Amino acid sequence: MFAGVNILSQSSFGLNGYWGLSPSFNTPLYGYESNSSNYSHVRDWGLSFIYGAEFAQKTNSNIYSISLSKTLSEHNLSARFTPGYQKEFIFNTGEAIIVEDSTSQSLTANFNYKELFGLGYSYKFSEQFSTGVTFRFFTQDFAQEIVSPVFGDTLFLIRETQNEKINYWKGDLGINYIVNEYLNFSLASINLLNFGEKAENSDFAKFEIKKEINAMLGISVIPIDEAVINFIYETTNSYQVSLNGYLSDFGFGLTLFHDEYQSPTIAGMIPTISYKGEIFELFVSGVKYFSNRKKNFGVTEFIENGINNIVNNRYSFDKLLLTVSFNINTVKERAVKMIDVEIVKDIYPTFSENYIDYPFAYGTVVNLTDEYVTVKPMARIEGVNEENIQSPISYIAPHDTVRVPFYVIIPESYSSEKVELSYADFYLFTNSDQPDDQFQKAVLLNSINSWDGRVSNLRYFIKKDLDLSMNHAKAVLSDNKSVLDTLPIALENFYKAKILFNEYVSNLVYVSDPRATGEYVQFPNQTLELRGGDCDDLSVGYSSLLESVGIQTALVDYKGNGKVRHVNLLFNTRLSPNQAKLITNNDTKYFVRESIDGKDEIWLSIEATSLTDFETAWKLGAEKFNKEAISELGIAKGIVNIIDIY
Amino acid sequence: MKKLLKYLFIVSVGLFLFGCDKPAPTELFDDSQDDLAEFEVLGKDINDEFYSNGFDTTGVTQDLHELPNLISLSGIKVTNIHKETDEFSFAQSIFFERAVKIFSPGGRFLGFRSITPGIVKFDNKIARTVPLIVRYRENGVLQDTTLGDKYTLFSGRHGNLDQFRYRHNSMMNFRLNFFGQEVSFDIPTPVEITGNVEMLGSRNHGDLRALLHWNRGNTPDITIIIGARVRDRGIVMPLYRIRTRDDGELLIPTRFIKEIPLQNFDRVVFTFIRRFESTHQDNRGNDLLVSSQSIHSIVVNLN
Repeated sequence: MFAGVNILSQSSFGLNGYWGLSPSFNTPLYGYESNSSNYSHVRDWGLSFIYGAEFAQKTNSNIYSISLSKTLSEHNLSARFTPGYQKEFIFNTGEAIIVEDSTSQSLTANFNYKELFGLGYSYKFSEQFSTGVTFRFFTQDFAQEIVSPVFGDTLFLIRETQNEKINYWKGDLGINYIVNEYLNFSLASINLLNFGEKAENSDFAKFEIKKEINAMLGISVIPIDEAVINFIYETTNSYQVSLNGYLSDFGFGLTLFHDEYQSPTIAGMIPTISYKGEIFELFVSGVKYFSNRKKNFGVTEFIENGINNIVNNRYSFDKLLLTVSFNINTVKERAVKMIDVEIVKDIYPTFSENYIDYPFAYGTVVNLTDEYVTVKPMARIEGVNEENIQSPISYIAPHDTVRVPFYVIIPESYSSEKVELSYADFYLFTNSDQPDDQFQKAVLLNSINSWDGRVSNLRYFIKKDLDLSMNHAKAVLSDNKSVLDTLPIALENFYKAKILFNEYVSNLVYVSDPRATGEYVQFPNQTLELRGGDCDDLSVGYSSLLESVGIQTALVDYKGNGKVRHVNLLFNTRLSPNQAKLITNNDTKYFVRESIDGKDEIWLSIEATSLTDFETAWKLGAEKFNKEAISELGIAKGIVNIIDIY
Repeated sequence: MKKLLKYLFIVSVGLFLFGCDKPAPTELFDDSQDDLAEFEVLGKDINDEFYSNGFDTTGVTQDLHELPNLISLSGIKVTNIHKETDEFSFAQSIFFERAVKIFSPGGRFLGFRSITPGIVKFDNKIARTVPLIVRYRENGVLQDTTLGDKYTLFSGRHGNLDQFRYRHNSMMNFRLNFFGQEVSFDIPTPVEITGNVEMLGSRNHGDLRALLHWNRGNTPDITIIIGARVRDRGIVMPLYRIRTRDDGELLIPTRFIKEIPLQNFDRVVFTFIRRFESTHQDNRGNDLLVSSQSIHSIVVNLN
């Protein structure tokens, strides 16, 4: 009876006049027609309604769609219920029945095409690239009156209605590429996947929605911050172009669309005004067709041309629509963004105090808002910290970019003797439990014996396990109690140092760094256990013993000036210059330093690598100090540094 | 959040109150030029093959009760189940005296009395007068009776009885000499119709249907009569009349074929009729129906 009817389910048409990957509104992205990839800006939950009035012979109103969207990390899920996405046709079938009184009664048909609901999923690989898929469920209700004969005692004709309901799913894939803030592209299929029922009645099969595979390409250009130009082209040769503008919280849009299946060339327009509130978006739009939609349409045209879109076809009426969208964010909007993180210090676990005073990393942070933002930075190094370590709070001016310091605390229990490559997580919090942004960066995690070569940092080795040094020192001094008890109090430090040194070196030998590197330093107890070490280890060990019994020490860093670098130490005898003759008459063997409270005190230089006796070590130390630090003006030139342990 | 819930509540209530309608349907008017089929039952009582139908191979299917004065020319072809086709020419003219009704003995109105008021010629061939016989069944008994006489000319399978030839797609002359008063006019005849019946599917599968084809002609529509031959009796009973556009093709759906009871009928006859028809009034106000038709009946087995 009829040839195939050209009925397609969709084209890229949006009821609210906004579409494309609009940077300012979420609402257009609920339209699967122009957003087959389910791209979304929604941070958490989103809800959207489209309600409208249709100006047919009489005006009636209905809900067009209710959409729900949920973002989980980089994933977005959406669902759409579309009770208003339907088109019903009523027409005479061309058949008639002559009844008893010889009058003719025409038979009618009622075809209703509906898109009932849809589901969408997308994944954002990066801020620039995302892909997704949408599935939409369609149903087609066909009802047609037919004539059937009934043979009984008499033959008569009856009118019957034959019905068929045909359901099917269609699925489309899409990708989006945001080149930069001024340009983005989208590419999507049309009718790529189709599965479901097919008409069994050949009369209805001709009227099924067509499922020809096509594609559409969308381009959005943002020439200025206040305007977006969108263009979509379908391989069906339909296209539409729109201009969206923004002024404060208000916006306007105007879409012109060409539909290959409608006339005139520009089939209609969709003007829109919009308002964006804190938690909702509001659109008032109109669909105005440029051809007369209230005229009487003939069935022939329907049979010849069909429809290619349920909500936008040659029989669609002008509409006035209200779209309301809510952004229900239990996840608050991001106020700051971390652009980069710079690790300024490798991690030497023994220098733990150092990290309390100085940041190990700086983050470059941007305030994305129009207001001052208080940022609470936190960091955590995998393998070191179990919880995030908070750094000082920073205040960032609107749209300003600042460097935010990150600090770390090395727990005393940390004892790894391996050098590892770990990573650090950096977080920025503003005013919720969820970080606004986070960043991860690799960090070198040295062993507890690792040293960065800076003599000043040897003090951390000296202070480490001071209790063990103190126990050892007290035991040695206790063994020499009879000697110490007979000495004047003024000489107590001198003799304690002497006794401790002689005992210290009695079992030690000088050995080069066992790791064949200068970046390995033994803790004092390790030196005692291993019975040897290099200049760093021996100076650290002896200094630790003296400090543990209250004798003030300082490391002397001989930078070598091109020669081999060396470390030995000074200790404070607490003798005054007048008392120096109690220990020596050679004024080149001691040095006067002023104490914190302004007193001059006698300090002795000890060469800890001289593993003979105290006198020799003192003599060697004094000679070296005299020569390099004083005679050659090493201290003045900065070649020799004295580093107090406390 | 409170503000959000308030907005949501307002929107929900609004949508509930005002959003219960659905988009308006589009009503399409019938501007079809190609597809039209009008169905009518002819043989209402399938147990009375002679009642009221007046069907015969001349294509006159009107109820004799209602039949006006008639001038009819027919070119007839009948194709049997062996695909053999016979051709006939037939002309007749019937005039009724409407003041005289004829009833059966049981009181059943059979028709008006027919009269022969003068000499009738078709293409200058004088028509014979023969009885107008009607057959009816009353009290289970088949009865014949005459309503009067009619004029007729016939030629065909049984010989050129009257040397009369129906000519397709031309003009044929009718002349009536009524007590010295002569009435003459030409009757146009339509393009010859030649049909073809293609039976599709099978009765056992429940999808037996007939695809009819015919040559397109010079009339806006044609009539197709589906009749059935009463089993073992050789009498064809008309069942349906279908008027359809003269577009050359019509599918008779399964339901029209499969419902024909096999216990009553064994063959189906598809009769294609292309007809010119006009109605006139004579001086006394009686209607005069003038028709010319090309007819092709095709018989197929129902089994």
